[in-house]
Amino acid sequence: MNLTRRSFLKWSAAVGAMGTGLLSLPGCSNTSLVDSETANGAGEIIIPTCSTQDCGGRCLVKAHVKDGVITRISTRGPYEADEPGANMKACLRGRGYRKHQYHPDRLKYPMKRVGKRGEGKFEQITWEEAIETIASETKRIFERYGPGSRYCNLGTGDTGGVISRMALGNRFLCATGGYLPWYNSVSMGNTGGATPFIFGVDNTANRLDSLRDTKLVVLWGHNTTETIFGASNYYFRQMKQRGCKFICIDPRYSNTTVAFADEWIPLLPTTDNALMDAMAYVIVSENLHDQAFLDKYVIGFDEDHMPEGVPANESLVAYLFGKKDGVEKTPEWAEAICKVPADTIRRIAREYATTKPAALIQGWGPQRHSCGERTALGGAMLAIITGNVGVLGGWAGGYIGLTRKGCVGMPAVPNPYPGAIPTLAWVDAIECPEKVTPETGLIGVDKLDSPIKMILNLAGDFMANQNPDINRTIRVLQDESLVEFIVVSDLFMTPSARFADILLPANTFFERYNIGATWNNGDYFILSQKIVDNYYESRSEYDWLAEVADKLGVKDVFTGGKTEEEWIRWIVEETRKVYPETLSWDELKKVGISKFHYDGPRVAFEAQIKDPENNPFPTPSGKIELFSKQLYDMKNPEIPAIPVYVPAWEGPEDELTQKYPLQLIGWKTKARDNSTFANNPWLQQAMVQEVWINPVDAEPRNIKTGDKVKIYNDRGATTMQARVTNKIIPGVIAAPTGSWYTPDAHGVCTNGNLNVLTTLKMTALTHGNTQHTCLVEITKL
Amino acid sequence: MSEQEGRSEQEGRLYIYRLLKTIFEKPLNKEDLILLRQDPGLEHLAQISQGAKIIWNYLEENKDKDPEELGQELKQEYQRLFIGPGPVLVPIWESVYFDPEHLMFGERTLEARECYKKHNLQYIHKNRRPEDHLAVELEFMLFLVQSYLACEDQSRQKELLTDQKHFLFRHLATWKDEFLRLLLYSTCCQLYKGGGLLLKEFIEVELNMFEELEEVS
Repeated sequence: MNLTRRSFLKWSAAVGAMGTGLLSLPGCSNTSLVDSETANGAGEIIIPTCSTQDCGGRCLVKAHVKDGVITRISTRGPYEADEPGANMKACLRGRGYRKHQYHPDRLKYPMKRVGKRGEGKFEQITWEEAIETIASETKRIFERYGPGSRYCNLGTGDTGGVISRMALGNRFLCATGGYLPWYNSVSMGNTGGATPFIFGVDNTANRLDSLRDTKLVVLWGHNTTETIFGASNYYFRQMKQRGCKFICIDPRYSNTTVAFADEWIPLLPTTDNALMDAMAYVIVSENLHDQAFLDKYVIGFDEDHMPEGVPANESLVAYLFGKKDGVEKTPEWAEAICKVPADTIRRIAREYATTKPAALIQGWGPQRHSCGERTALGGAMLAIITGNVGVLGGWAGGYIGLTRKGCVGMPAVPNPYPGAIPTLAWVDAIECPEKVTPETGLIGVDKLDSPIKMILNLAGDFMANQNPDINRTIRVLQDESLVEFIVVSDLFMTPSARFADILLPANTFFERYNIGATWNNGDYFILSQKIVDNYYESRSEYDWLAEVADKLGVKDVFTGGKTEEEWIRWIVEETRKVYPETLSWDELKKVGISKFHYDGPRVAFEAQIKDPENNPFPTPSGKIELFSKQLYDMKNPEIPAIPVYVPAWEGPEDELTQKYPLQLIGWKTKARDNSTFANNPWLQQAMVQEVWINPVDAEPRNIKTGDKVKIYNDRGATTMQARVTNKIIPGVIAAPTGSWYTPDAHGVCTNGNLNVLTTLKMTALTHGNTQHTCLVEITKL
Repeated sequence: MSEQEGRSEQEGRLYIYRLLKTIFEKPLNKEDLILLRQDPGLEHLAQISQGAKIIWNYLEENKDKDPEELGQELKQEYQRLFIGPGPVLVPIWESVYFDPEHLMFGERTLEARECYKKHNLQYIHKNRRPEDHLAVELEFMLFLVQSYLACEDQSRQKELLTDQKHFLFRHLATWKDEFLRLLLYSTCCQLYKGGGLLLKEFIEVELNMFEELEEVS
């Protein structure tokens, strides 16, 4: 009985006679389309801008805009090469921004939770209701539990901008009475916290143009082609063309290895120190170390250069030659631990020590381990004994931090609450605040006065996706008697957004003003321009937080009397005062990018090496402390005073390998910034969520490429497809991080998220992230 | 066809465009439901259209239900199908069906915008929401049919018919089938299933009408 032309005509004749009641329906008036005289066709304009996501790079992209709609994104061409400096041409991620912008799943309206927390049931509300609720809950929780009960979770969705959403959340909580902040980067906090024990500071990197004359680069777990780490790829490509040799040390044959490596050396994760110590053993035993450098600038190398009050045989040399433990740290000793052949160890040790200058650059993956601090110290140790510190073309070590020019920030609103917790401690601070103590990383206060009762989660998917041990975390979040109020603002219904009580649609970087720069910045910044209107009812967090602050009587404290755009204009103007080469607002609007000028390459510790008398290292001894008396005095076996090899918990020597014999590591992929873009249709096509497994491990488990497998341990389980490949060392499996947690009825992630398997246990010294230290078993489904 | 018959035909078209727009523009509220239940045109339409019959049956089956409560149910279902949060189960924007990556604000959106612009019309949510939303496309057809009815100039009438035909063939007709398929797959709500089916039935009748007109001319 489908409608036909004939039946329709018959019906319409009858209906016409009786009149149609439906004509009076209020929704039936023509309300959407209105008269407009602006009918002239708009041509395409091209506007330069950049994203503010947590991408290691910061490419200038060109938004092609027609009549208020972005029709495509283009990137810079080879004719736009910046000399000097990097030509940051967009990669897949940058070219795919439009797929994010106009994705039909973007959040459109404010919502409130109507089901149980985490169940995913929401109801549309007005902005007025959302703001009223946030204001009253912020006030109630402050009055009942105090400032330390309020927390703004790590959210890296737009930390590439000078005004990040997370920082705005913190600012709002400061303005309304204070909050419990976190400290320590989950990305590189272990290195950042450990390096100062050697050098006195954590900013220990050279600018990459200082590597012009470098003859050998050792990339130690540094995957720049996927993370787009600043302008690294630009400089590495130039160095490669000049004939610089690259050695990549990585358990996995990464894209960076494919792109740059003359030699790939796989090792077992967490055994880096064994390899480093054996390299040091070869270097010292063959007298390839730089004794003059060590004598002049360093303490702790040998027994003749030790701090006072330390007994004999605590120096590096004593350790290497087994003076105390009777074990010489030979290549054969190391081979048994790290699986790098002894001959290879000898060869690369000699090569690194005899190639001058050489740069051993550690990435962040190797330190995101239970032994992360020791690994960071070990890399610096090799640079120190070969005299590669403070010299053009060398590299001291550390997290690749640089002190250089950058944009002026917004003046801070002070936080009245004095305490802070390590980044990973927030779950304990909700569930068992008594366990968050100065011994486990609490600073500023002796104890927490209150558990966390309110969470602002702005532009972040750390809460229930990127955080280790998802199963424990979501159990804690689901308990509505623990955290009483969670506000989430984001672009999509991420796994973390599911736990919102109030869920707000955020606007994107195309819809607001900001300023973007790279990781390892200082080369340039880009004006991230508002190009199109806000999608549906999405808003900038700045705007609605200002409205909530207004309800609470502190609008001016929060805004300083400025709009978000006015702050960005202010930042440009203030930066111009400090660095006159900075382009003006009008110039930036046209060309997008403003470059900082330098007289020459920046080399960390150049002054300390050239003129040590007047420029001591900012350490207790004024020298490089290869042996740290501060660490020695802590008497913690996990953080020895010199970077010795200590078997890691959940490492290959842990007893747990009896039950879970494989090490699991994750890698940041070309297709995502953390978990951002997990739903981007282009990038989903660019990369399959699959776990790499060596044939040696796959065969006994009857696993073949394409098989669906389950990876599990006592913390949880996840499923994805397998790729059997010799591009991963035996004993280790690896998969991309950042996939969106998608549980089945039993809580098994069906989407390959690794954080159902990872641990919240922190490192010993810096209370940092250990996400890559994870023992598992894998089975074919 | 007599002049009266011709007018009735146009009014019948208006009626169904309005009905469909009402169903898909936003969730029906209490007042909408009460009016729809009392509408004689729909009851008759239900006798000749499967989609309308499903809609009518839905209203009949729920006639004893509190319209406030029914409105709430529809609000939840509309949100689940067409808004989110979470994956939008049945995209209600044309461009999503044609863009290579199923995005909003694609070429089809801008083409629809051009069609509206030709008649000096602009979407009230321009550049915040795409104007190839089903309800907006239906409203544009309503506008064209109304304009046709109000117009006495023959050449202008012809032009209006041409524009209707073009918009139907280029836009509404191109995604009704996939829209219905997704609706049938995604919902148990008879109102939306019936609405999707009526949309398909009616647009096919519209296409027939224009084909016939072409043959006559």
